[in-house]
Amino acid sequence: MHILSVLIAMFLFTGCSVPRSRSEYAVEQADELVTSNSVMLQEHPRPEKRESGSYEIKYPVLLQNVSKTSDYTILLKESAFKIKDWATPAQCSFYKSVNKGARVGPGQKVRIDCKITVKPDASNKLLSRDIFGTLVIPYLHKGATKTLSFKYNLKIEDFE
Amino acid sequence: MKILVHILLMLHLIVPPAKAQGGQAVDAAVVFVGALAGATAITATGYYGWIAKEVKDWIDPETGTTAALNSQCGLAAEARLLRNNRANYLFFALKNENAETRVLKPEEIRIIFPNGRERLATVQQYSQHSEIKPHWRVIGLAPFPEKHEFKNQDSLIVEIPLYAQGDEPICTVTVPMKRNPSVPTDERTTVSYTVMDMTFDLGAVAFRSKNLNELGSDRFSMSLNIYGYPALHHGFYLGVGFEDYGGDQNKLRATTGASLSGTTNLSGAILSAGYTYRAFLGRHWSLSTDLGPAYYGLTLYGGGRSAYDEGYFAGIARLNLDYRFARVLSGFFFGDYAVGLSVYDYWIFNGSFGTLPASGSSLGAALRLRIGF
Repeated sequence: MHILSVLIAMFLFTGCSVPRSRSEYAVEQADELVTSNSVMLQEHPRPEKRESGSYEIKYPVLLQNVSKTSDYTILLKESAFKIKDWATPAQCSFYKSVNKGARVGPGQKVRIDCKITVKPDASNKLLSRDIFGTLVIPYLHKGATKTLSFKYNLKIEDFE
Repeated sequence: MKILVHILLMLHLIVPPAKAQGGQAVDAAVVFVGALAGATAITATGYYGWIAKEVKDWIDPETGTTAALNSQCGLAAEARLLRNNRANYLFFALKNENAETRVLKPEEIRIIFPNGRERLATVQQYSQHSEIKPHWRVIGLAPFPEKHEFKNQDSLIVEIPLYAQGDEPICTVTVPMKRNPSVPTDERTTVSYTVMDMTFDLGAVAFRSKNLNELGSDRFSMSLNIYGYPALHHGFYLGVGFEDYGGDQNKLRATTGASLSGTTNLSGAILSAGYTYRAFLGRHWSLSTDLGPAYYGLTLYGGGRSAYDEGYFAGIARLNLDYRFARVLSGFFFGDYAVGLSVYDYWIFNGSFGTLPASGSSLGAALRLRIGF
């Protein structure tokens, strides 16, 4: 009976735990765009190893244009995931493709789901230390290109 | 299981925003993740509970979340609606983009429903005012006072007054939140319910069918039941019960052939498990019915020792009407408290006790106390 109790306790306190956060919660503002990574924190995706040997990270973010007049163009195809001087393209798209174009109109709220693929040659560099990477999503406003940034903590265990 | 953790760790209802700043920001983020994902996140400020789910019928199909963002007064703001079984919660976050410090007073966060009802967020007594330094942020989690206030509401406004140095707010951040009417409503948004109940029933047998009545005439009964509700209306129960028959010593000796001395008493012990269904009749009242098989054991005691016993396959049906008189969201007395009336019927399908037939039905009523989590 005692062993059973211990097993039940182990189940309760280990089986129900969730992975630690891979990023600090962030609500940010850039121009008239307010962004949040709360969805990523809610879904807490971890890197998944693919058959090709590469690792895939999903990173959803929210973005709201709080302007009453201005449009913003999100340059999804130019999104990237950067670790220091190394970068890999990020495949970003609007959630469920509800936003047909790249334009985010006044008052519009969108979710962008990004998929980051880290190939083995890059991941090999990550075997020795935990490190922060940054998802960078550029946007165009009034002719100028700026970026939105979201951090992600890569762990050694991800690549072991 | 969630309840166990609740009981062990106690639920703290708001993140004191001061803890969410600067060096504590990672902790705060972990708390947020814990709150959202249902993790057993424990921080210096306590345990933030199983607030694992976003309020389903407020999830925007276009983003897959309840999150609403805004920017006012030089602060970026986010609000989300979360829930557990007993309460809905407001998650809020502010990032100060000003060059000056702002002060947040969590107890002044106001929620305005379109029907005109305005509520202040529920905060703990020791909730602190919090400075939000330039480019710092705070996050918090505050329970809505009542789930039922969401009934028939498709929007709400969160108002967060902000201060500088004085006692008057210098600006108010508002975050409008909207429900997409095309999303089907979810009863769990508007009904506060428990996922595990314990009841203690004290009652009396009102009627026994002829065979059982022959065994004894005493009427006292009691039972202890544990209920689990994996769904809002449907659940299961496990119960133990006791019924007193009293006993005529000479008659029972003749019936069973047992050697009896001292005080003679015949009692029924019931172990049952089965299905339960409950309906919510408003904010305080609930009606439930239990149905299941049971083991019914009759034991004859003489001089305090078991002298003869028999066991039978039985069934039980029970109808319960409960009134919730207290709802405690945190602290040692954490739980929903209710009193109720229970009407039950045990029936023994077949069997005999000594030379007497023991099949029949036992109909009774009980007052009960229910504690739910």
